[in-house]
Amino acid sequence: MTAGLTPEATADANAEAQAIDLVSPVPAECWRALRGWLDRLGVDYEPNLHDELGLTGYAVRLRNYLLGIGLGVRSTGPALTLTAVLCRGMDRPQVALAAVDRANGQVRLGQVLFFPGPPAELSFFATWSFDLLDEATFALLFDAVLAELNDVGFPAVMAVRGYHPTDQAAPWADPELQAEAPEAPDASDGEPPADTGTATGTSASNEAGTSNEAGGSDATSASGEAGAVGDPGALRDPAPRPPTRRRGPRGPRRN
Amino acid sequence: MDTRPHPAMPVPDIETLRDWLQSEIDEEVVRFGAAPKPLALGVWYATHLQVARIETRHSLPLAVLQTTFCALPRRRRAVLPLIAHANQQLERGRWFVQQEPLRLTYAMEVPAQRLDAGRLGREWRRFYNEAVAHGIELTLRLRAVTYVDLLRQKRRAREPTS
Repeated sequence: MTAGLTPEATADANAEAQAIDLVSPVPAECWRALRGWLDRLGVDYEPNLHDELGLTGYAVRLRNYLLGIGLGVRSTGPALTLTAVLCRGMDRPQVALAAVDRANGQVRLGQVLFFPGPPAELSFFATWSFDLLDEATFALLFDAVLAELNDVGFPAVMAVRGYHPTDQAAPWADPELQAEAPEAPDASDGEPPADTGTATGTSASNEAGTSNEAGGSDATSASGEAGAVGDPGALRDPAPRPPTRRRGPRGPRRN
Repeated sequence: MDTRPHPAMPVPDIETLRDWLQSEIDEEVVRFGAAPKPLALGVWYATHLQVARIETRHSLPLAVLQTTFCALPRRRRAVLPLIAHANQQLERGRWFVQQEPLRLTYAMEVPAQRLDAGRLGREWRRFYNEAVAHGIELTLRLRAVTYVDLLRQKRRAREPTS
């Protein structure tokens, strides 16, 4: 299996194989089957190897979504979980609940979730029992989820004026680094301090309920690696609106 | 665990689903729709009506389980926050609101190609547990009425008084 790979790739493959065999509560044959499906589907994925938890899933970096594919043990046995961060941070969090509810009424697979954050997130979550899947069904499910993300997820993101998930990924991914990092040189120029005060919160996907936790962390850890590090434009607040003038009453004035 | 592909497995129809489900649960499974080709099957529970139907979405045949649990909440402003909270706690499926009348619906999809009696029964019971657990909480906290009660009231109103 590792023939023809570089030594680094071979070491990675060995580490992943060791993680599959040792740590994950899901049977190794499920992981191998999932990996084979992804390989034959032609998906470019990366394993998420946690120091303590072992293999937590695979991350697929799409252009507009951060997709996490993982296996977990549910009440009905091993289950496949697909998650996606639709947006991270938004201009209109006050309409997020309504947008998510409308999306859940329209979505035909899985569910759309709102995490208040910070940063506020919209995410997609779907899970199915592993014994209901085979390679052909997985391929159809994968395409169906991508279609749902475009059909339902994108309108929800537009309703809340969400930000691209990789825009603000890096500052939120590691708040300790943010706290220790030196101040930006333009912080003293009257610009707001780049929201670092709110960066102490953990990622919203990791704060999900017990059921949705595993899948959310897959996509989140993927986004932590994929973000544009140190992009000052990503943290800048939108320009303040000019004050609106009130129009006087129409018609003749009363004395 | 067998993970080999089954390309030739047929998608079960409603009658097959009904037979499978009837072999797994004690309650009577009823059909909805005309007899030669019923549209859905369902079970009347004391708290809700749980239905299942077969749909093809994005070329993927799915068994859709759905129930409308409660309606007419008096605490209307709490609907969306409580639904969002319930959705975060769910193991699968989703709660959402439908209008006119305002009612809360829970739905879940299951890939249909590898279903059998045991798997269908397991998913059905899983759905029932989730629907009842969250539905009772939502009904009580929202000061709503169960949809079964609402249907009963409408039926009484339609019946001619003697």
